[in-house]
Amino acid sequence: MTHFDIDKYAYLKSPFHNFDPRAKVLCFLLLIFSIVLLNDIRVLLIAFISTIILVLISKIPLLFILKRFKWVALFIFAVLVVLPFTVPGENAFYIGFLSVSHSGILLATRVSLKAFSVMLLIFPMLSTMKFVIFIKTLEHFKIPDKLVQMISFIYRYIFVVSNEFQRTLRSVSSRNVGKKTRIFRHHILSNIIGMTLVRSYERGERIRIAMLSRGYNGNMKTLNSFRMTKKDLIKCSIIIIWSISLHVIVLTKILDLARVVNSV
Amino acid sequence: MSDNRDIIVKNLSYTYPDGTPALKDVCFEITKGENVALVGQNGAGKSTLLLHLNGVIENNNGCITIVGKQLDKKNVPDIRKKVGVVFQDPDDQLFMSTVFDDVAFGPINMGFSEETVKERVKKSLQKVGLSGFEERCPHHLSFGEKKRISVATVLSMTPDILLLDEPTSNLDPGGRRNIIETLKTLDSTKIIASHDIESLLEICDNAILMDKGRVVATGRSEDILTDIELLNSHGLEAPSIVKMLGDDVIPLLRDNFDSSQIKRHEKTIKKAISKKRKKEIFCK
Ligand SMILES: Nc1ncnc2c1ncn2[C@@H]1O[C@H](COP(=O)(O)OP(=O)(O)O)[C@@H](O)[C@H]1O
Ligand SMILES: [Mg+2]
Repeated sequence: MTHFDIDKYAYLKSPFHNFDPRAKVLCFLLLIFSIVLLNDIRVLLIAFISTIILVLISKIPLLFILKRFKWVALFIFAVLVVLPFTVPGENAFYIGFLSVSHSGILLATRVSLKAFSVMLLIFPMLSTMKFVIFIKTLEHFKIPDKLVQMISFIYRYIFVVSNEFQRTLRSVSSRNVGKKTRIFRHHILSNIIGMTLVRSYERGERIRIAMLSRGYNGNMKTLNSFRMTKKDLIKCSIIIIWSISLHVIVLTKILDLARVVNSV
Repeated sequence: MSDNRDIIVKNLSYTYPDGTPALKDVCFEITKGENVALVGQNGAGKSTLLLHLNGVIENNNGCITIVGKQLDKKNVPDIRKKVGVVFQDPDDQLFMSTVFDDVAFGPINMGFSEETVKERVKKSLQKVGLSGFEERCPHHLSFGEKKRISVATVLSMTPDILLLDEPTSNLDPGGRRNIIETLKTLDSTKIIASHDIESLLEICDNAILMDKGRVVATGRSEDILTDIELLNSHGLEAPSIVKMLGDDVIPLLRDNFDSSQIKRHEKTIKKAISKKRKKEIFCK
């Protein structure tokens, strides 16, 4: 049984763990947008480094993050490989008969820096609270109730359904000996999937009845006790100021200034 | 008309939309505070009957009165506050992501203030002996714990009537014992649908026996649930003598079985009951 464990380390203690969830989500979204909008590769590098610092502060084990990174990394790697060859521009060098362009390399670096930063930021944002709290945060942000309910139900029942699926699979495979042609196997698999769907449908019906019995009338309210403290405000300010600073650096051309001063 | 009758069911018949007949001319009355065992083999219509009593199944074929109110479309919200149902599968009953939210779901829908809701959650969890479980997720609980939380989700609405569908099924002996003890401490009117006749004998005063959608017998649970012939003829099994050795069954044991029968099971009986009780039975 694999578990959905993005909140596996929600019990740790760090400045992000005791950050008010609403403020945390908002601040990090702001930071993410801010980074996505950056174009200057040097500032992106600064942003990337600051992201890593944020991850370190959050105390989420790096190994945990790296494991979850596999697929994203693969995707970025593909981009990295393709872009330098395909983006037209001044040739930097040749690999065999393929020309690699300057602008291609720059673009690839920019894209991957952005992607990695955004991916990394997900962890100090989401892995530092229980997923349930995240759902409540969504509820708080006036995300349409239906959507929040759906996320909440998916989270609640994904294991129940996958357990049911695995149980059926096991019972079928324990009885299935002999015939093992591919078509036969496909036939069985489609049967199991169908059965799981029917079961889920029936369960849905039973849950609906259980909800009605306890006075469900279309909206699913919960109590939440979010409270902003002074510390939260300070953390908020730091992240917001940093998000803005990244763009200030670009706009005021501070980095270029340094070069100009050096050359003088 | 004296009205300490909590539930009155008259001539209730029901056929599922797909044509399966589930209830046929069901009649019974239940007084306030009564604990009623609802027994019958699989498919007898127990669950269907329970679903009728809080208006989940709409049906004009018959008449149901709950705490003095006739059940019809406009009464349904009111009646659901009075009638709590605990379903068989706790994964159906616990649909929220934390225990707190689940137990709070009913009271919130009833429109109580935040303070009251919190208090109700606390009290209900206390009643089922699971205080401190508020922040746990249902998928990290044991089956027995889930069952007891299921009861708490309904207790938090302080219903006058509690309907339980197979509360002891699939439980290990410890979990089963826990649920039985919890149910014994609750003083609302209860209907318990179950095959676990032994536990029903322990909890319930009266019994309703159903078969193929009909009520075939009603009476004191000591009479119905120990009537070997009656139970056998409707696909059920009476508990063995030893299984009957709950406290209230002992006098009954003395009346219904001759000493040779008791002697035959002497060893097990001796193990099962206290010395004082032993004297009562064997020194007759
Ligand atoms: N949703 C349904 N649709 C059609 N028939 C059903 C449905 N639920 C139960 N039945 C049928 O109604 C009858 C009574 O079922 P039920 O009330 O679940 O019995 P019990 O709880 O005593 O085992 C059975 O024959 C069953 O197959
Ligand atoms: Mg049933």
